[in-house]
Amino acid sequence: MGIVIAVISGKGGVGKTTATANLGLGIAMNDKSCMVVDFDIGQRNLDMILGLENRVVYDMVQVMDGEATVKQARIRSKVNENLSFLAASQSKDKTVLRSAKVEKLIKELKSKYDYVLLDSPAGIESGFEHTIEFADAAIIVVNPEVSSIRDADRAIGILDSKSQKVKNGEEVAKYLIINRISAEMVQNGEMLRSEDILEILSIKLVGKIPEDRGVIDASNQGKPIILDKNSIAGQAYTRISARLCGKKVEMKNIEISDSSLFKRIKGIFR
Amino acid sequence: MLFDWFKDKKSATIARDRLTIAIMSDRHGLNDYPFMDAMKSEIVEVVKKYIDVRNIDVRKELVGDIEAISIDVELANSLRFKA
Repeated sequence: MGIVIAVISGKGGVGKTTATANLGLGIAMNDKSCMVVDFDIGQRNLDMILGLENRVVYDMVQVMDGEATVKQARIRSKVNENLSFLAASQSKDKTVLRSAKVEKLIKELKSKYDYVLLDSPAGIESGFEHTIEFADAAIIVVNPEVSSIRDADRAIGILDSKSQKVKNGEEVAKYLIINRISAEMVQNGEMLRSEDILEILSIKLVGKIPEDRGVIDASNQGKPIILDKNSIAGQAYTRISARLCGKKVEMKNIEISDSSLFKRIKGIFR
Repeated sequence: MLFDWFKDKKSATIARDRLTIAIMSDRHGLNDYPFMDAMKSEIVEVVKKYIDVRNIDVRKELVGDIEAISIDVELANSLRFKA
């Protein structure tokens, strides 16, 4: 029996889809079978980030409606065969989702894969609620920026009230990813520190990802940044994926940039 | 003096303070737990078994950092014990 993780955020554009793609691949690289599902119906994007857009034949709505089987619809990544992908429907809208159908699909995926990652639509409408309803855990992606954090808190509130696990008296595990951290800005007091964000949201941290120009370059090519061993964001995703696979990896303090460390050392000798 | 201190405040600190207050008030607005309705109707049933009441109000409250559930029982005009 696998574990189902919903990747969510309060507002859009914080890097949720990029995170889903990279963590999915990262989990696969840890020798676990992983299925990533794009739940952002009407705004299919995960296929582009994974570089699989040309191979989509059936989407997840067709699987839910019984028009295709999981085996027919799933796309196997060529980069890592442990990774499979189910595309969102592009023609329909979010209202097509029904709890019973979502539950059936997730149960089936859970029985077949070690990890199932659900890329949730942003915000807190019906599509979001269906994504979190049957998840065992949630990863909340935020940027160190006020609107993203405030909206994330609302999303967490809805997660706590709509999750099937919570309704059954269990706890749904919640982990935070802080994306696009600029060490320089944090050092200058121009960006929220991760400790402050954790305290405000009162939630556990699973990883911090530094701002990295390579992310856009990677998505241009449909090659998740985790494949680039030299990229600082890619390395952060590698660490988070290992943590999700139960490995103990120390939290790296990416809020101290090499340059500011260098400046400090220089300061000593001045 | 105090004015200078505010002027020197880094924007990250301002962000933290503003967020803390905004989120506090957002959370206060979410006045329910998933089990609230069911719990309320059970409490009403139990209380009514023993005393006459006019109204029972069950609310989620935020006292500082602590979440609490407050139950207000408004008794009927002439208090009668049933048991």
